[in-house]
Amino acid sequence: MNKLSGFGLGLRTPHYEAILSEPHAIDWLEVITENYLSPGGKPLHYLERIRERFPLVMHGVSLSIGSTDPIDFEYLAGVRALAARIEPHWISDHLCWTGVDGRNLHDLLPLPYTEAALDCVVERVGQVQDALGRQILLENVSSYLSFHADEMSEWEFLREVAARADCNILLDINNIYVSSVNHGFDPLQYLQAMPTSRVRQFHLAGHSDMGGHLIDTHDHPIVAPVWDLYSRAVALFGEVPTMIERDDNIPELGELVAELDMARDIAGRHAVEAA
Amino acid sequence: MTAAASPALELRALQQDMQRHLLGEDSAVTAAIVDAPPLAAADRLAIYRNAYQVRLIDALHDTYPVLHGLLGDEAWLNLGEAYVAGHPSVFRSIRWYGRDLNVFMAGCPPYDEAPILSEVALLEWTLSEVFDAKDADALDRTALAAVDPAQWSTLTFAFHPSLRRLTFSWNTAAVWKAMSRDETPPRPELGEAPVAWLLWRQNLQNYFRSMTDVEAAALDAALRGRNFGEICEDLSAWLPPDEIPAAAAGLLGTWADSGLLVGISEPSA
Ligand SMILES: [Fe+2]
Repeated sequence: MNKLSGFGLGLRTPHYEAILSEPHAIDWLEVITENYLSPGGKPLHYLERIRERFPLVMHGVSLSIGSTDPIDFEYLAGVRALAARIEPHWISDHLCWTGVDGRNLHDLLPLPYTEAALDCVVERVGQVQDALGRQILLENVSSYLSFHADEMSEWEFLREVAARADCNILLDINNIYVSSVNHGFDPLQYLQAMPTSRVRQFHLAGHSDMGGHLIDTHDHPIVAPVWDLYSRAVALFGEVPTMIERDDNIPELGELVAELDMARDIAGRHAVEAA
Repeated sequence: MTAAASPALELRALQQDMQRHLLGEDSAVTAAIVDAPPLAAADRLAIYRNAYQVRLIDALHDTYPVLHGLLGDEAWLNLGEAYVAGHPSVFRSIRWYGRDLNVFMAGCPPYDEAPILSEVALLEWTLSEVFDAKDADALDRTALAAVDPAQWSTLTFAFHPSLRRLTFSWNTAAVWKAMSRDETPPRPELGEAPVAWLLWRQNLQNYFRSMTDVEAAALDAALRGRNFGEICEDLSAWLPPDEIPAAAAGLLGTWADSGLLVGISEPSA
């Protein structure tokens, strides 16, 4: 598979027509896996047209890799079939759990960072990668709580999962920043702990400042401290494929493309440090 | 369970406890959460618990915009909270959440006092099913014209996977149409008799229209797999015998024009 590079956006329904008809500097698109597991109609129709013009990556929200429920192989078969149809450069999901006992809380819930949870996740990543026939990327989530049971930091946990399960990492720069404020850690320490060779994609997004703590709402432009952290990430890891997530309060496509140009500009200025 | 549960079981117990908390059930999980600035443990959990409810009610709004408009924001939120409290999601995609809202409303005060509301909910849910039902290539009229007349009586028909049949007792469709155009809806009105409705997708566009009793009887028979001859027999309750074949053939042509017909089969020998 050809190497993916450059600057992308998350594909969102209001932008379908603009993506196809307007000239713009978007190098690739990330699609939410679950939105295209429906049987037919408009979503798949547009996805087929868009994939003819743009490299794609698939990003899931319901893998629930950290759950203690049995793995849902029917879901994975659906993901694999979609991947066979649209040929994404990679498939990612989140280092979290989304529910137990067959329930889906539709949220990216944090795990306790313990040896037991590590064993559980490592085993499941192996099963998932076998079922999909490919390596996956796991993304760090924003979190608002942590457990007394924690035996290591989130970055140590993520690094260990990736090393032991041999999977790659989607580093969400905004999530690192949001969690660093909510839990009082140094976001640079997180970045510096990541294994360079496994970091394959960056996410950027906006959040909401609740005065004291931050909520990962994806409904605002990216803020200055996250841009700063992004410049440090580029200096550490080089020009990793970067995309902006916007899920609410979605502006015209042009506004996001302009924000993407800021990422391009920052990456251009800082990537030399990594070389 | 022994006093020293295995680490994997401890993880499972923690997840179940946290899930109970987020679902508003009895839970002791707060004691397991770090209580440190900038937030107390209970406030940290509350972020997730509120987000759970808000997210599911937002998903309901995406499927039921007209129902939301009819109820107004306050009643809509009450409905959403009541539904979410009794219906934890078991769906992969949040887009499928809310399937049973019409059933819930039909059996729950105060919504059961205005039965048109549950019909509107059923219409909106069904439109969401039509929207992303499986694709299929439709046949046009020429496929019907190409059939050997001697074969007609034994033909059976296959329909587009997006096709849905509903029956409304109220002026539900008129209310839906006005609301979705931002016009003042007509007052809820119970019709003289229930009316059959047909919903489908053609060229990525959702459509719906009412049907006469004759069309509904013919379509329902065809959907059950009755062949053309049997469909004609079923229509004898409504039409004089000499008018039936032409009427049935006319309906097939109409369905073909709407992209509803995807297969014509002769019985296998
Ligand atoms: Fe992200």
